[in-house]
Formats: sequence, C-alpha cells, structure tokens
Amino acid sequence: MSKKMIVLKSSEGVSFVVEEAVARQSKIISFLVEEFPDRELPLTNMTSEILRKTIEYCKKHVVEDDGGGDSSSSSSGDLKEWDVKFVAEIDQPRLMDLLMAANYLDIPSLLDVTCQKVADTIAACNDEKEIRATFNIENDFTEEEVEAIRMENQYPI
Amino acid sequence: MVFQSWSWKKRSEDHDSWSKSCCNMREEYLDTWSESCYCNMRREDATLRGWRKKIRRDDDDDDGESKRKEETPSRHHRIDDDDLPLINDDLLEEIMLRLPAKALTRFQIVSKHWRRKIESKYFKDLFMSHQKTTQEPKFLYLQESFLDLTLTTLRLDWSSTSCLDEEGPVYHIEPEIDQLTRVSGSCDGLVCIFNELSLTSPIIVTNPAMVRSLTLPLSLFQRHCLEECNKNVTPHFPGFGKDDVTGTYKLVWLHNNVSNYTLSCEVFDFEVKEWRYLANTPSGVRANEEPVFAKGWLYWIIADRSNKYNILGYDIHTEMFRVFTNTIVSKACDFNTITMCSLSDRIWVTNNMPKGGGMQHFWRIKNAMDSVWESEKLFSIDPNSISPGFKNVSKVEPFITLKATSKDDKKVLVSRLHLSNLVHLLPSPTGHGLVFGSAFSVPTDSIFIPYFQSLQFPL
Repeated sequence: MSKKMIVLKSSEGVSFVVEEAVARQSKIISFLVEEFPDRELPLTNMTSEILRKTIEYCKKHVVEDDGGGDSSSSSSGDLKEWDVKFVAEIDQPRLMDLLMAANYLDIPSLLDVTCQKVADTIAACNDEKEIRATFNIENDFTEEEVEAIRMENQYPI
Repeated sequence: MVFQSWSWKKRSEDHDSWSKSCCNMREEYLDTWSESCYCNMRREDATLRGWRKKIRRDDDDDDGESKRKEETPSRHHRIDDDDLPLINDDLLEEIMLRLPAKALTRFQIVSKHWRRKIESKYFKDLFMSHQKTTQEPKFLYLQESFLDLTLTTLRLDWSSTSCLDEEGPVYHIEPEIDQLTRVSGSCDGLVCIFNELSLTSPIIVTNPAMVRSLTLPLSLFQRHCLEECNKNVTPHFPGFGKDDVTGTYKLVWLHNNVSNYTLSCEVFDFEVKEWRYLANTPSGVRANEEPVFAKGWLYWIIADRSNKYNILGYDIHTEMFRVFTNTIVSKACDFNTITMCSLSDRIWVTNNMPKGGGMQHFWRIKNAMDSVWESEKLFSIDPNSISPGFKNVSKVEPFITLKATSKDDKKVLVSRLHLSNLVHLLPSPTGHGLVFGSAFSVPTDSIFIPYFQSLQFPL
C-alpha cells in the first residue's frame, strides 16, 4: 500500500516530498525519476513558493489508477472550477512564475490554465497602455505609427 | 539529444557497474540538464520583463541568499541579473493563442514585437489551427433587423446542458442589402453575406471576430442583370473557399441556365480582386443552390436531363471540375430530398423529407478524393420525434440540418432548416432510441452556422 515518494528541491534548497504519481505529471520529472531513482531532484530555477503551488496543482490533478477512479477523482466540471479558482488566487508576477514553471517542468494542463489566465488578464485591459504598464513593456512606436495601424484596422472605438 | 544519448548508455552497459563509475557523470548531467533548461528559459524576448525582477529581489532578502551560496556557483544563479528577459517567445505565443481575435487586432500597438508576431502568417495559421482543434464548437449567429445585421459568436459547451454562451465581439454591419440576407458557410473564420432576393446587391466578405468587412465589386453576372433590369433570376449561392496550395481565397458562383441545362461559372480571386468567367464548365446538368466547401474543394449536387443525381466538385487550386458519384445521392428524386453539409472539413449527406415520417439518416463521406464516394451512416433521427418545437412547425420542411458533432461523434447538434431551434442529442450507435439533451432556441429569422475565430483577412 505504500506509495513511492520522491524529493524535489527548490532554488532555496527546501526539500519537498511528493508522491511519485503526483510528480510524474511533469514529463521532465517523469523522465528524471527513471534516470535518477532515489535521489533528490534539484529544481534550481523554481522558488519554494512556486514549487509548492505546482505540487498543489499536481495533487489535485493526479489520476488515481486503482479502483476505477470513482471515489477520489473529481468530475471534469469540478476540476475546471477548481482550476479557475486556483489561478484566480495568484497575483500577476507569481502567475508568470507558475506559467514558466509549468513550461519548464512540462505540465501541459497547468501551462494551459496559466496561459489562459494571463490571456484573460490581457483581454480585460482597456487599452494598450494598461498592458504595457501591467507587463512592463516598452512602447517602441511613435504616435504616427500607432495612428497608421489604427487606421489600417479601422475598428470602432 | 542529451537525454537520448544517456538512455542509450544506460541500456548498453551493465547497470550496477555503470551506476558506480558514472556517478560523477550523473552529477554533471544533472547540472547540464538544469542549465539547458535555464538556457531555454533565457531564449530572448524582451517583451515581458520587469516585474519578475522586482519579485526576485524581494525574495532575495530572506533565506534565498544564504542557501544559494552553499551550492556550487553556476550560471543559473544569474537569474537575478538585470538583463534577464522574462518570457521566451514560445510562451508569449502560447498566451497570445488564447486571446480573442479582436484583442489581438487591438493590441498590435502594444509594441513592435507584438505587432510583428500578430501580423506574421505563421502566427495567424497557428491561431487558426488552435481555434479549430482545441476549442469547443463555435457558431456565428446572424440576426437581421431593419437597421442592421448583427453577428455574434456563440460557443457550445458539450458538458453543460444549457449549451450556448455568447462570446467575442458583437459586430453590426449595415449592408446595402435590405432583407433576406443569406450567408455562405464559414471558411477560416470568414463568411460571405449576400442577398437572397436581390441579385444586384454587392457581396460582403467579413471576418466578424476582427470586426472587419469588405464589399466586393459587382460580378459580371450581376452587372449583366443590372443592365437587363432583370432582377428576378433565381439566384444561386456563391461558394466561398480556399486554395489549399497557395492559400488564396476564392468565391465561386455557379449560375444555372435551366432552359438548356448549361452552367456558367464566375470566380472572384481575392489575390487579383477581379471576377472572371470560367470556360470549362460542365454542360447537360443543373446544380443545386448551395455549394459546400471542404479541403480546397467546393461541391454541388447536380442532376442531368434524365434526373440522375451526382456530385460536382470544383478544385479551387486547379480550377477544374470533376463529377463524383455516391449511392445515397443517386437515390435523390429532387434537390430538396438530399442535402450536403461540411463539418470540420468532412462532407456529410442526409436524406430530407423521409416518406411517411421515416427516419432522417446522416452519412459521412469516407473518401472525398475518389470518384466513387463511399459513405458511412453515423446516426439517424426521426424528425417528428425530436421536440415539441420541431413538431409544431409546418410540414413543408420537416428535415433537420447538422451543426456540430463532438470529437467522439457521440453527440451532435442539429437544427431545423431555416429555423434555428436547436437541440443537442446523443445518437445511439444503432440509429434508434436517441436520447435528447436540452434545446436552445433563437428567433426564427436568424441564421446559425458553424464557425471559428481567425485573424485571416483576404485584402
């Protein structure tokens, strides 16, 4: 009945003990577990906070192999709701960190929800100035250039 | 690459001795792995930098600093560098793919990098295939009023019972068309709008997601009608499609000359922006009104003088016509008794007006490239048993049209022709004993077509 545990180490050197099935949702970890069994996996570019969040997500999304999955696994609708809440609670900078963690560890579903959340944030911006401010992007257009693009696209303001 | 060579080593050597002797290499390897991932993250994109730096510095104030010093100094600690870009281009792309088309058009002015990306053909194609493959089915819903034409995007959620949400921009067009607007099937998120009754009204091509439209010049046939003051010709619907090889959009308009069983065909090429007649149109046949588009071809049902029904295909790239046969289509006795439709680039055929209240069957064509089309029956529906809404309507057009199928073909969405009273249902494999889901109704004068958002615009 004992489940195999693996140890993940954050950039601060904090160790996290995780069930293998949970961690294996990351394709990278899945590979490393096979190549390097029984040793700590250093995730040198992930902070403890982000790693904790990532593990929280993976725990929720782990698919139970035993017993047909009727008891513990949530319905897809509930899971979707949980995902929305999960990303809603994270502030913008940490969301970007989580997005990059999902990419780095290769967890497609987490990458999808985090990208979607960032996209929703962008879509909710009133204008391009708000996007630049939120994401700290430098405006390299001149006024004339912006006007020309606006004319070209002729969308009603 | 590194990963592969390592797996190979592992297999080729005795595991125990290997693990001892390679212990050092393993350490090295883990380091290499971390660094390669880090390098990957470093891949340039100067767009989203700044806030992450800030956060990193905040974090450094506490325990991060001391712990790091214990580790071997290596490149990945440069994560605190001021020049470190935040998000690589691939990730920016992933985010942009999930934005609505209208937001992407509006936010081109964020920076030159964003604009280059959004405007690139590569991204437009990627956006389209993302919309096509990963999204739930979407529809374009057109509603006419005396003032204008309203285009709304709807989304179908197979899992919920109240199935359609409104999303994306609502586009109001004021066409020079009075009433009785008709619309072509959607190709790459573009549709053509034309008037069913007045042949001489110009055709409009629109991308509703981008809130853009283009009025086409009158076709040669339309100009001829204007000169002759002959506005009462029964119009056919122009077919709108894309050349799969060059990516050029074309409008193909087939006109029937019923008196002598000849066809004439006009093509509007969006590259050249001109109408021209085709010389090689088949003769001895007449075609049905509404063509369907799939995979670079437009298809019409045709009948010859002896009332033999076949399918006429037009290859948009080579501009050649070709006749296809199919056993279901050949059983037709009238254009109204058989309908073709195209869903996700596949052709479907259905029998309409089943005699004596029979079942309406839905076949999918398996081999649209061969001259003899084979069809597989996927499900059947009794049009009179679907819902009270369906029952009460007059018996003139008791048949239903297919609007969407789920990826596993277990669920379908249908509507009654010209009446967008929608029902989604679960067809059983045997074709009997259907389980019906919920209904969604919209006003009867609206049009409802399968659609997805895109950034394409044939300028």
